Amino acid sequence: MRRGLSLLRIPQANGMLLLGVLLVVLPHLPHLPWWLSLASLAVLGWRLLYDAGYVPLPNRFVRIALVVLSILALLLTYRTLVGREAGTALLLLMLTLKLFEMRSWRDVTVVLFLGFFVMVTAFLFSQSLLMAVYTVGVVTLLVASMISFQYPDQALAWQYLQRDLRLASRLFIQALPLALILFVLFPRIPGPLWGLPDDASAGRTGLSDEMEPGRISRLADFSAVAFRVQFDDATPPPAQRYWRGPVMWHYDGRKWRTHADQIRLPQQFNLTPGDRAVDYQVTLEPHNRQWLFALDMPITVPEGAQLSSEYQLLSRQRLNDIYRYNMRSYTDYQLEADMLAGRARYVALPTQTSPRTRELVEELVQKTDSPDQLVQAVLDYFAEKPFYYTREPPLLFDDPVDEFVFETRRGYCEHYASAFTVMMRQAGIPARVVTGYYGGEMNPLADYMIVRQSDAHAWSEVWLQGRGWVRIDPTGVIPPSRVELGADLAQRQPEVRSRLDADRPWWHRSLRQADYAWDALNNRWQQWVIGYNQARQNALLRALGIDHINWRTLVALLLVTLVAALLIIAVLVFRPGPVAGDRTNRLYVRFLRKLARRGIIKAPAETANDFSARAVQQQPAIADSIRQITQEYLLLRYAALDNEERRQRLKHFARAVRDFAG
Amino acid sequence: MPPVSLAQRFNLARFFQGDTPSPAPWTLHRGNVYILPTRQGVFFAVTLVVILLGAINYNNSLGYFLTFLLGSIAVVGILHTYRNLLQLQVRVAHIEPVFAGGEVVVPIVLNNPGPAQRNRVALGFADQAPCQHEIPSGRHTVVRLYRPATARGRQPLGRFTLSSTFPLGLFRAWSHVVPDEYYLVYPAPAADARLPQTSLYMASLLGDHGIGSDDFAGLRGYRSGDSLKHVHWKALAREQGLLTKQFGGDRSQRLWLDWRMLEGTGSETRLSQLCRWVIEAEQQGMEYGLWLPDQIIEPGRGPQHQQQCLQALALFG
Repeated sequence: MRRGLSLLRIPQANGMLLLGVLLVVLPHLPHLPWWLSLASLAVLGWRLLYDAGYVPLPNRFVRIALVVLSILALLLTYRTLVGREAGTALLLLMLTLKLFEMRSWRDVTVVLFLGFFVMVTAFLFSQSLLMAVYTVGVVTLLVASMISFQYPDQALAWQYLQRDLRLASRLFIQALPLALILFVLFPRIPGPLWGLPDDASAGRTGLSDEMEPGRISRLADFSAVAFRVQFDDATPPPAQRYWRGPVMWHYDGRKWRTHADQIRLPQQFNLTPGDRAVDYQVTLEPHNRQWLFALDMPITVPEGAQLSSEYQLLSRQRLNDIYRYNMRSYTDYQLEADMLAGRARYVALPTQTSPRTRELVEELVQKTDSPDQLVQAVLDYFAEKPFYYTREPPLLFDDPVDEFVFETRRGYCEHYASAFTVMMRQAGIPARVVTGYYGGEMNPLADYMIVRQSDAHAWSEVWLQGRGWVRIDPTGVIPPSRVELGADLAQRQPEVRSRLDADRPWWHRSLRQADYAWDALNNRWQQWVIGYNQARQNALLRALGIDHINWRTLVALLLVTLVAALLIIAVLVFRPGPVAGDRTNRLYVRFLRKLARRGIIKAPAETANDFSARAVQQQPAIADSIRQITQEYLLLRYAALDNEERRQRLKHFARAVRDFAG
Repeated sequence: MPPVSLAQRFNLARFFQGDTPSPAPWTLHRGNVYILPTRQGVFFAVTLVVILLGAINYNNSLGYFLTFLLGSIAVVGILHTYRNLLQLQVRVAHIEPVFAGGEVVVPIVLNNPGPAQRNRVALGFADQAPCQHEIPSGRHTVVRLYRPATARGRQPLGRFTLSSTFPLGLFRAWSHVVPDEYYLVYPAPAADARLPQTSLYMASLLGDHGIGSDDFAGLRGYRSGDSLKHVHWKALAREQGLLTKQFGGDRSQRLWLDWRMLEGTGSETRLSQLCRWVIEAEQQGMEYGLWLPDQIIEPGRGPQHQQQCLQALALFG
């Protein structure tokens, strides 16, 4: 390796590779442990200083110690070396530490290919449009550095950088059609080849299969899209936008749980729909669970899905892929109006639970005549007493319901749903907690609704004789004055929202417009690129008129189109273009024509120099430009110039000839 | 493109050694440029397969896309690597003869008639590390290769190889050129620089007819081809016309270098000694002739004469 004294004397190839590695590492920084982020940046910096000639590389023992130590640290952090997060961290570690022993062309290859690998792992964390654009840029840079390594001794210089980037971009553009054909026609194998690690797509949902109000004091506010909905007809009013998700009925005094339960057929439910059906299509983001979401109450079950006995839609497989399904729901309905199956479990409570609340409930029961009135009385209680809605409630310790109802009185949907359901059960009314999403905003620029993770919600369902399961949302009774501004609920209560909007400056509103446009674009991206799968592939081919698709026809089609595209590209690459110098001659002829108009005509046997001397004598006014053009012409014709210099000179020459006054 | 039969196309010997010697110039075309992945290329393919498996397993669309993109870039790279050699024209310029033990300079002219610059074209004999060159569009480059001159005589130039891994280093295109060219190696001059005794002079063999250059013998009319040095300029100045001065040879300095004088040693040793004598005699400005069992070169001097003698020594036997 060469040693220079200034940063500018880094071999160009190394400089580009280091920049490439830095760009590969950057998107990983947010989810890496802090020490690994720091370490990888430090190694990169060290290597840069080494290439500039300031520091030596660590010796072999230090390197081995570093590898051992960091693998131990990884094990301590993740308790494993496989899986999405730990595996990515391990690869990244290998990539950066390899920089310490990058000496031969072989090491460079290892770094480059590891770089590509780590780049791909970033897609496990984000497949956004931005990420794709970014990656394309980084790949072009890495390819350019591969080209630079063909000139191992070249020092960093702008003109060479340009040259290699230009060639890399040309390769990229020529490769793009092939890559697109492969993307569209390569047989998509559904499902994982081996077991997906548990963290394959963890942390993507605002919902969980258990709920413990008071354990987490702060709701993560994340506005990631949960799913998008396209309605066939009218959009249901905001008050009816309850998206049913996991239903919890098992309560142990602190925690609500869903329960693996039997699956029932839709016919086994006694569901009486109302008048107006809502037809719509849901595009669900992958969340690595089986839950499907539908507007309360769905009447159809999508293919590959089933209903639990709590009337919850479940897919047969975990959803690791964008999933699109058609639904029909009735926003007015009667569910199991006459007869309730499994009543016991909807009234079950641990003994000794929430004694103070029990007293309150007994008091309310005394005052009321019917379950309907009791429900109203409890809701009134929440509305009248100083209950607040906040995203940052205090922690609850001993008996969460008692503490919440009588002491803290601050909480979000889970607190209210949990307390309400417990109170109903204390009164002997069957009740359960339903979680899901509440709300959804229409994208005004495209005709669909966006439901975000921040719309996650929990409410209650009580069973009333003659009316069946009735949805009660105790959070909804909290008056807007007691809702913390900025809380998610505020976004969903229309009056609060308009109050908020009025206060917002114009730029905030246009920002929201831009956000909608962006989401519309992302929606397309999600559906056509990220969500491209076997089903979509088949649909596309059918649309193209290819009906009986099996993998054999697909491979044949793939090969035929690939070969055809490759032939076209080969023709473009090998086409006989103008030999360098031809353009020079054409420009010179143009110059001669301009002079001929002034009456100076070059004799066939006259050399360029002789002619120039004669022309200067006849037209002393433009002597300088005649001399300059002749000089440039001779240089371009006869001097040994490399490509870059030739390009520059030719540009000058062309400009001089064009500006020459004929 | 010369016709290449199917059997020839799949001839492994051509693949490894190139064609049989053919006369210049050589043009690289589809029939004689080969391309295969380098070790990096194979490694790259393995990496892509692993990435693809990952993409399939995680059902990651962009992972698929990136794999395909990288693969396609490599495939397009094949075309670029191949084009980097295609249509190059190769010629061997004049090779100066050397003495055995020295180094032959082989100037090879690479001409690029195509529209694109050829980058990093490596050129070298089979057993040497190649050197890399750029050849701009529409121009030619002269590359000097060196090879040790071991044995005396007319030596076949042997196979040299043009190759390139430009631009990505994942594939290597190459073409063997087996030129029908030879270079001449004179015998290595012996260390003993003493010239043979003049007593070995054999005056009676040849008369002198005024073609020597030492003693003035008289004037005659100028004939075209006479050396300007011998023109009698003073006579011209006196307007006596162009006259050429004639010289007779210096008998005492005339030397025969004779194979037979070196009785009792091997023929290569004799040739080495004769070679040394030729060089010495030429340096001392003597007039010398060479007597070999198969060839007699009349006495003379000057670079051309020396070359003639050395060539006779080189090709002896």
